[in-house]
Amino acid sequence: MRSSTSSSEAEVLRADWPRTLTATALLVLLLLGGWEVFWRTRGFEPSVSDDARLWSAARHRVRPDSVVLVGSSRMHAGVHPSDFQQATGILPVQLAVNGGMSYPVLENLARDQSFRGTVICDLSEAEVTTGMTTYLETGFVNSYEHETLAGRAESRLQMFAQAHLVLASPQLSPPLLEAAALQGRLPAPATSPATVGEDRTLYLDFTKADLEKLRPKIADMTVAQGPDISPEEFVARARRFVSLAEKIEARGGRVVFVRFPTSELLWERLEKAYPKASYWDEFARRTHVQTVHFKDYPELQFDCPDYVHLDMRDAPRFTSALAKIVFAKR
Amino acid sequence: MVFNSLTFFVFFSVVLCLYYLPLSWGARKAILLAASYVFYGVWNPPFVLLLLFTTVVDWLTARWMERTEKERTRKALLLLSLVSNLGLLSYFKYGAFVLANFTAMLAAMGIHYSPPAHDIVLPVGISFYTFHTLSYTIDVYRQRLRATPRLTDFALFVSFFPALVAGPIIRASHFLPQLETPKRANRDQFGWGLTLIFVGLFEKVVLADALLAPVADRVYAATVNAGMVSAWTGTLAFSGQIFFDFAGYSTCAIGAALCLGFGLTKNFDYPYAAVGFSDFWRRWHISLSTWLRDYLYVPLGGNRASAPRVYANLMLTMLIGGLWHGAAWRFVVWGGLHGTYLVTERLLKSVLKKRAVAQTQPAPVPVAEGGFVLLSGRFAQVALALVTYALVCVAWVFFRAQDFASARGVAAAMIGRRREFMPLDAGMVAALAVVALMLVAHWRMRDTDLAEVAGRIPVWLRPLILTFLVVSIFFTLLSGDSRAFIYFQF
Repeated sequence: MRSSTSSSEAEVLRADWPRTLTATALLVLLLLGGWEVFWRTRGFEPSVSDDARLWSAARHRVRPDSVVLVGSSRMHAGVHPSDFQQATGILPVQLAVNGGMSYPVLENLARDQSFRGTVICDLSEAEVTTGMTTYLETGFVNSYEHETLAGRAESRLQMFAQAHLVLASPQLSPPLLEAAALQGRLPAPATSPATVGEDRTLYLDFTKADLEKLRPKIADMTVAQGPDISPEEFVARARRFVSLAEKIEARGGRVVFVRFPTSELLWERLEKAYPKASYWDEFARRTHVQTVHFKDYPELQFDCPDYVHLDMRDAPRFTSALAKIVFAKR
Repeated sequence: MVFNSLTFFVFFSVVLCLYYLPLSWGARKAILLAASYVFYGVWNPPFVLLLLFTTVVDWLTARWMERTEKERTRKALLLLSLVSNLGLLSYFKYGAFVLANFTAMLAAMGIHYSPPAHDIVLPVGISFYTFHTLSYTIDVYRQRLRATPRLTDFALFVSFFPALVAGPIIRASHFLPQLETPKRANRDQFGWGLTLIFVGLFEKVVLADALLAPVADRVYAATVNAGMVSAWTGTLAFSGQIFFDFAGYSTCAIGAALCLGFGLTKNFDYPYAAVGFSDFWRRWHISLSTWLRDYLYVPLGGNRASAPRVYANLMLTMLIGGLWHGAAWRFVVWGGLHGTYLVTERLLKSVLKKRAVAQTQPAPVPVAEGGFVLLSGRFAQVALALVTYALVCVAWVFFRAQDFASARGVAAAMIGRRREFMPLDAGMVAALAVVALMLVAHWRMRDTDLAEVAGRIPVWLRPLILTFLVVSIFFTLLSGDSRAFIYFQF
């Protein structure tokens, strides 16, 4: 039976709504609960996506005097905020982007007139020489700059759900389930060596990685990134990073450029392309901004299983050592 | 805040809890008013001031208008309301458009002019709430409505959150009387209201966003690759996307209002089953088409003028209606096409009527004012509805395309003048299936109502259908890939 208060209004269905809605609520709970239990028994665990929302939430945690970690996956995997806090008593904000670059994030902090804290910035020869940025960190910064209050609240709710419910896991999103169904299989828990925590700590577990395949890929990719330029040109190209640092320092802040560990074959190749003595050291000599190169500190020398990233077991010690160096230099 | 978000579920739950506290009607209205401002403010807090400004100006204007008997003062006050409302709308929505066209015009005359950067954010919903308030001041001027003495009631009418940012465009004459007596949804209103929210969200997040939008986006992003089949597929997908997107929003709005005990006007009435274009505009975005009819078309002379004047009025109304949708010439072209369709339909009707009189046969029977029956019989009516739909889709090309080059590309492909480089895939087939089902549903439901159809569903099946809707929405929302409502940009 229908009813309405006006001819122009939508009709209303008269029914036994308490019973209908209670039955619906029970069915929904049963289905979602069953779904959750099913995937948990298959080994899935709640996990958050390391996406623009998570980054933006971290960026919102930056206070005027915060310590901020900026950079690529080297910084992301190598510095764990909780270990940094253990070493210094300060909990830094992790803004490094896995697969991204430093410049757009450093630029965002330089533009933020309220920020006068400390930036520990990962700087590599490839980023200095090519000046490249990626859609990842630029997208993250854009997303943060245009985020509304409603968007922020939505991100928090989504992340809360992801952190506590398997059914909200990105691994079980409708497109991935559909793809698995088309292949006639059930999705399996991710065996990726990389997992991310709610505070954006990246845990890289190389015991789960196929290093035989990974190492040649990383070596080719990294060496191919840099052009053949002179040390003078290198210093000139690094100037754009320095000018951002100067803006932050002019407000009373501080920036430290860090060259992260690189191992074995890749370090040898990089040394041939951009010898530390004539490139990095020259840059360090000609800038007043503080620099830290891993080769100058025995306590920062770790073996990177894939040549460029620290394993999650080494990251706490590296973090602690770096934090002490950065704050001792002050 | 958008309806298709977890935030809205939390917000609406809190609002319902507070609204149904055992408080006075004044306190409960204050809760709704505060909630509406929060709903709007979380998007961009400073624009709350704009909403407040519009509200206060129109409330004061209408009050003053009612107190004075001098016609000149009343006219001046109406002008003040029109200038302040349309001025703000023009500045925020059309400022950049006017400047760009002015610069282009000067360039065509050989004068180089570089205007200063015009980087203005369009306040969400300004086109909707401007029309809410204008209907009020115009009705008070026409003495068809008493000015409300309570500013808070008027503020709630302007900002009522279910309809604030994307309609339906509410009229003061319909809404303000509802504030006079305490409102509490009864069980039927509450249950049906929740059902409408779920139906609307399903239309939006599952049908529009997940199934249709990817196909339309793909075709319109690479129009050079589109041939006849893919261009039609993309355009048909968009016709479904925009319907489910906008009708979905309206359904949610009506449902949310109903849960609070308020009635909003119907905004869509199965438009793709329309036979002819006057019928289409009685079924599509009803609150806008009736607004334009009452506050623009009729004051211009409406149907009562000479035939050429009526055609000019129709065309002008549709051109302005097109421009209301967006500050771009392609929206004007979209409105112009609909104006042309309506004028052609009138001409055709007039010719057929004259011929029938000349042959002393009965004239074509008007279905309703403006509608017509060219051919009788069920199949002929279906054929006419399909022709109407196809022509509506042709107009959608200009609405959806990013620019005229893309629109021309798709239009050329639709008439077979482009080679196909985009073979049909599973997504396109699924989109076509959804569109086909939508057309069948519109045709079968054109003379009925959702509540009537739902009433025919067996009682045991209703919770199962609701569960399917809720679970689908839940998974899509949690996947986090939600799109804004298309009509938010208007």
